[in-house]
Amino acid sequence: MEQTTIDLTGVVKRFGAVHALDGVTLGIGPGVTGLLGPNGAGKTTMMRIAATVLAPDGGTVRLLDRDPTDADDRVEIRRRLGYLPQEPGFYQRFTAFEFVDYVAILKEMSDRRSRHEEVRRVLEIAGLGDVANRKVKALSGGMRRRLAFAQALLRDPGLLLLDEPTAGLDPEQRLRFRELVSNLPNRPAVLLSTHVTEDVTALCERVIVVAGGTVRFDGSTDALSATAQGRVWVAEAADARAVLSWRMGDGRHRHIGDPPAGAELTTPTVDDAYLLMVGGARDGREMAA
Amino acid sequence: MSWHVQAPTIDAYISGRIEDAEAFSVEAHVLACSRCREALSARDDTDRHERIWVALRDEIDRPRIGMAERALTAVGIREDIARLLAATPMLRASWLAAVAATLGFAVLASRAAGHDALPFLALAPLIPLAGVAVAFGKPADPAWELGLSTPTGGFTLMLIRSTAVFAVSVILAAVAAVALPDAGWSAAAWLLPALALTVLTLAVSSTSLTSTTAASLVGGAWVVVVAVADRLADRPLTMFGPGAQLVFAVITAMAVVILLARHTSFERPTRI
Amino acid sequence: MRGPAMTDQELIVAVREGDAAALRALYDRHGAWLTIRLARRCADPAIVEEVVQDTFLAVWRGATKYRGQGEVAAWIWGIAIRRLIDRLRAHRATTRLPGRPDTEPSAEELVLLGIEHGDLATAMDRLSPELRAVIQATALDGLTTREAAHLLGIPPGTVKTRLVRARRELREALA
Repeated sequence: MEQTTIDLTGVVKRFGAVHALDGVTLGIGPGVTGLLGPNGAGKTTMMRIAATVLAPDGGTVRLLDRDPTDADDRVEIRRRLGYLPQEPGFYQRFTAFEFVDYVAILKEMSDRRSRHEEVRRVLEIAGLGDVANRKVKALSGGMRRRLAFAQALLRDPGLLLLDEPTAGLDPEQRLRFRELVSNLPNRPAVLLSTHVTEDVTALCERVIVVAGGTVRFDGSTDALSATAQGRVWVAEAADARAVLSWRMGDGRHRHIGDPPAGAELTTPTVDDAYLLMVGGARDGREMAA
Repeated sequence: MSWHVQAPTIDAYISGRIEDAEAFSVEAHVLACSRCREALSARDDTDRHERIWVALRDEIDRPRIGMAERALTAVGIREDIARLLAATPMLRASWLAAVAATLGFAVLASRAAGHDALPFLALAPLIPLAGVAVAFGKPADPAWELGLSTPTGGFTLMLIRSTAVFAVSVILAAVAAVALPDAGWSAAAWLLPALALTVLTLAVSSTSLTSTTAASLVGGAWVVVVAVADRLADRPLTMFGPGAQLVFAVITAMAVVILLARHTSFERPTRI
Repeated sequence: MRGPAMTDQELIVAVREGDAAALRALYDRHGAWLTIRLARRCADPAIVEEVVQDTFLAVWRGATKYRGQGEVAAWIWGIAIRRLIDRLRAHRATTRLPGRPDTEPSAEELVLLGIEHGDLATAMDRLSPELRAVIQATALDGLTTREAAHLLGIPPGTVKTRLVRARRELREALA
């Protein structure tokens, strides 16, 4: 039986009247899993629960085969966890090295020599070896993201949680980041939340689509694309009957939805399937993608 | 450059099998000629070159150790804890300046009132409260969420930071107390109340209240109690008399018990 | 913004701004000759490595002190030799120059400081090692009498007398 690293059963989380998570059940194991969904879908809430930074209002959670509601287990989970929050905050006056060193101390690395070696190791992996002595405030946005990523790698976590790691990065930086994630040593279980489908197709063996606080899909990226099979077509002009349509580079229009008879069907992509899944239904709980 | 050092001479120089005079010549020349420096570099021992660089780079990148940290390690505190203490976000120059100004104001108020150390004694315990109120939580600590996901974040970190804030407040207040009108035992009468209020605030913040709310509640209650006692009591400063000190000691002990009993609540991630 | 052909001066400016890669570039250019030159003045390789490391650390921290006066290499040497002296004073470690091996004089024409000094070289070779050492320390390394004394582990008075003797012998040999 495959060991699951994250196990959620009927997890509920409310913020006032908003149901951020509404009965989520899933299991995540080794490998890179993508958490795909529009803003407000509940991805960050799920990440925070997995990072033991937030407690659910209902349901059960098991992380790394332990119970986060038990104090001792919680500490053990945190020892094996690496977390890149959606909005990583830094102490601006620290240098890059000092910041990661600080987190390393929080991760119980009390011996200075081995700690500094570990700090240097993760900085090198993140490509920040040359700027280790630069103050955080002097680092570019992309470098700060990588810095936050570096600290998540400390002590080779068994579970790596990356919340929107490519947000705000330009395409080149996003590509570099994907390379970093796919070349991680020791292959931890990675949960990567994003609203960018390219991140998922580039990195993830498995993808979970969330919207409105519920799981819409859980399977391989190929299976996800397959759900849109026969529901994607191209035409010269926009067709109002489509759920969504847009103009492509060559002037033709791509449509997703229920194709009219004789329409020119085309192979669906992950993007098509995703949009069909979350972009179509406009019930009150979902916010705009 | 009219000439450059020949390869055999370079080898001779490196190996040491060279006449002194010739070596002098090479050295004087190399100081002014980048091409011959390059030639020397090409023939140099790369292992040693790298080894020196690694040690050098580690020196450059290593975290700067401030005065506070040095002082802490000097009194025997473990190096990594000292680092956490010294890095407490609240211990910034701006906050310290604000605290110093507040204390200065309190001392002046006491001197102006003539007889009364009351303004100072009433104000001093609130200083660590204010620090603790914002020592953790998102606004003051940008890396708060990250810290919560680590084994040390939570209770241990809260203790460390509160200790740092409290200790610094006490030192500053003690320095200011020297300037009080009747320095004497009353100059220390604020110490136990300060400790009691601080621990009480932490104990209260172990409920679902935030540390800021807890500090406001405790601080507000303190101000009310002091004002009322001042009005009602026939002798000045009864609030800080020996009997009252005992009460503060008891409050502290009770708050400590509550805090320890509920210490897991600081780990429980309820508020972001 | 760093091309392959940055001058030493430009690298110093970059180091001033905290560019660690610029320091690496400076080290790659100057580390070798510095290490070898120091090794010819101190027989203990551990001390030599330490001094090289300290020197570039000083360059890193004190890049603002270089005021464009002359070659960066000369500035670096000034830092290094004084570090070595401080180190030797502090630890009283071995200061003996490596023993002079038995070799044949080089057949090549020697030019010291851009002037033909075939005679000077021969004259220098006739000096005893101790006399040569003081000449090296003062004339070549640019040290004061006191600094030379620390480096060589002899009293300043001895440095002075040896210098006087060396100059006299050189003058006689070149006359």
